[in-house]
Amino acid sequence: MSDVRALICGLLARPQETVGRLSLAEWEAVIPAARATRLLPRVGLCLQEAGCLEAVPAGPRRHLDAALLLAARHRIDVLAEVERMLDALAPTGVTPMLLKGAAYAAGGMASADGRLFGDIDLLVPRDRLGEVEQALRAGGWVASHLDPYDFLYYHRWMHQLPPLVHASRESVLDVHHTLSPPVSRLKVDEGMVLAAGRTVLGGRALVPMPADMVLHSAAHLFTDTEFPNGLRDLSDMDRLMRSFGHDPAWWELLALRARHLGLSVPLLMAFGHCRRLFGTPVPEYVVARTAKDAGRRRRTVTDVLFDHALRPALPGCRTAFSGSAETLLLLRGHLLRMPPALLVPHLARKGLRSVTGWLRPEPPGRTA
Amino acid sequence: MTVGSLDPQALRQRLAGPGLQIDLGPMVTRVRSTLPEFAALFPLLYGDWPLAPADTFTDFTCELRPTLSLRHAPHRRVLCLIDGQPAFAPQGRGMCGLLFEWALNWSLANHGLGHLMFHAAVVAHGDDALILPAPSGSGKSTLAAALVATGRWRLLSDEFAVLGVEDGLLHPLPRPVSLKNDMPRAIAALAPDARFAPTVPTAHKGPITLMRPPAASVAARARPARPRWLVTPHYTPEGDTLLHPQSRGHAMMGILEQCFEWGRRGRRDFDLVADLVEAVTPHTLAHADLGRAVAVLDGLASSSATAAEAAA
Repeated sequence: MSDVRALICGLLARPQETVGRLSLAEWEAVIPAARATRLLPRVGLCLQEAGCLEAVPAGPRRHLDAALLLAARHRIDVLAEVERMLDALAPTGVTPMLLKGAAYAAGGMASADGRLFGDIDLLVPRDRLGEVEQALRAGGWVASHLDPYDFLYYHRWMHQLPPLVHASRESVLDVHHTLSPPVSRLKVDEGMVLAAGRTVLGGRALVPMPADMVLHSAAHLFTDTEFPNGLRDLSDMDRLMRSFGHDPAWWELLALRARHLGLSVPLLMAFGHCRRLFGTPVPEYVVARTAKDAGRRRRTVTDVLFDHALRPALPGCRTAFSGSAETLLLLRGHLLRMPPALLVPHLARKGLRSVTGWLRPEPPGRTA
Repeated sequence: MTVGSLDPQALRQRLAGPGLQIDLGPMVTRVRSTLPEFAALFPLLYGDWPLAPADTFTDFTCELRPTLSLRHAPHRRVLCLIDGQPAFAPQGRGMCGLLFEWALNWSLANHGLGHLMFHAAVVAHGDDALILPAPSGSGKSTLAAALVATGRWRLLSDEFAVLGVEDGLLHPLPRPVSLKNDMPRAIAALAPDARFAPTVPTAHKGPITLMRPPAASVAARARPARPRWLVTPHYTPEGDTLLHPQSRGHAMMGILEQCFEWGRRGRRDFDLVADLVEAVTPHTLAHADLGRAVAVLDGLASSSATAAEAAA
């Protein structure tokens, strides 16, 4: 059996030549792994775009059809939910910027095709945060109960509020007030991103320009602490870059934008991983220039760690180093987010909390 | 070759190794387990099911294995993995049969794969299906088991009505029926040859006993049935057994409440359920006594049959 991740990436990047090569046993491994990384509809879509969905055997084909149906429904539902959120925000007069999945769907980007949507991410000015929270609460989105420590953690140190969940529809909003945690070493000027955004949905919301979408996704992925959807995010970036990359000027804009926003390092990493996994046609001089801006070699130990960590979390898909790579990247992500002086007490506190939770006796009657 | 025809040693080895593949109709599942309890329980409940040919594509893999955790003595709890991912909180070893049923329910509810599923028990008289849609606690499983125990009805499914999106027919999924409290005794009185798994006490639903589906129902698993009657049961311990006609609108709302993945196909889903409700004569049934409820439902079937003959 060959590497399952390589098969998934092959189906995404070169569907025509990969689809015929897969045995039924390989399909049996690919379907759950693609589902676990939320890439199953994207696999179906890439096969459909290449016109070779018919070549898929009947068994796996049922899963791809169901996934395509689900993704189409998700996209309709997420746009409807964004409209409801905008209705709730209307009294405040704030025009939020949609980020990630919601932005792809609202902006009609290629990265919205065959995608499953989870939380709706939005960016609002930090000084309007109180009003926005109040308006969303009036609209039915409520935060789960937080102890005072968590409240301060989210409001003072983090770039987003704790997830707001709608009381009846259960949709989840992630309200960001900055693009990077205010206490982190990575500083992103959200004013620049907001200024370059374009309006969508009848002028009621903004989405970042395509280059900023790539940069935000890269910055998010390569500073995060866990990567359940890491491959999906890379595939999003691949599709974005492919759909705009036919214009040489766009690549230069992307590299320039990364330099101005201070995101050359994550962009370089995104280039490396997308090229290796999906064969994204990034021009060589753009990579060279980004590497120069980043002041960094093209492939570092961190990239190797990401390569081991960005795999479906299923037995048989992971390497011997996946677990340790994830632990190291978790630490790296935390260090990028918070300076050690804040991080050490924070982790100690969380560690203590999980230990006390573990020591508490199991509630009676939970198991038979 | 059926599950029951494998000798216990071979069955245990297959379960612990590559697993047993069973074509349930709406999906093909592969089950793997190293637990001796499960190896004993599985042929009892699924004995009549044939093994799928070796080259069948597996839709879902379910694995039951002992947990390794610091919290419990080793091998005290069973972990259920669906496609390699842990699905429920680990349970006691006696629960392994139920865990497997939960895993199948979870897979069916989340991945219809070309079928519309709703929560209902379905039995059939020949190729005419009686649908019993209702939330848990209304006695639908007991009613279905009692009807099947008479030998005049065959079991289509206990938890899921499986409606084909292409044909609008109800597809059989004759899995074990889960009976609550002392209902197995009532069923055993009706059908002395019914076979039951050991009763398991559960936290939320009280004691649950799984009943092996009758061999005749499993043998007819490839024969879909057309929707004919729809009866929404209510268990009313103190009342009388009463069958009332129900409006089609109410019947449809009742089904929509019990639908999984409702609206996934948009308008198509609505039409499917609307066509189903159009094809049946909906009733509600307040029932207290099992024997009388069975007589009433038998009467419903035979009166429709005579009416059809009179019309012909």
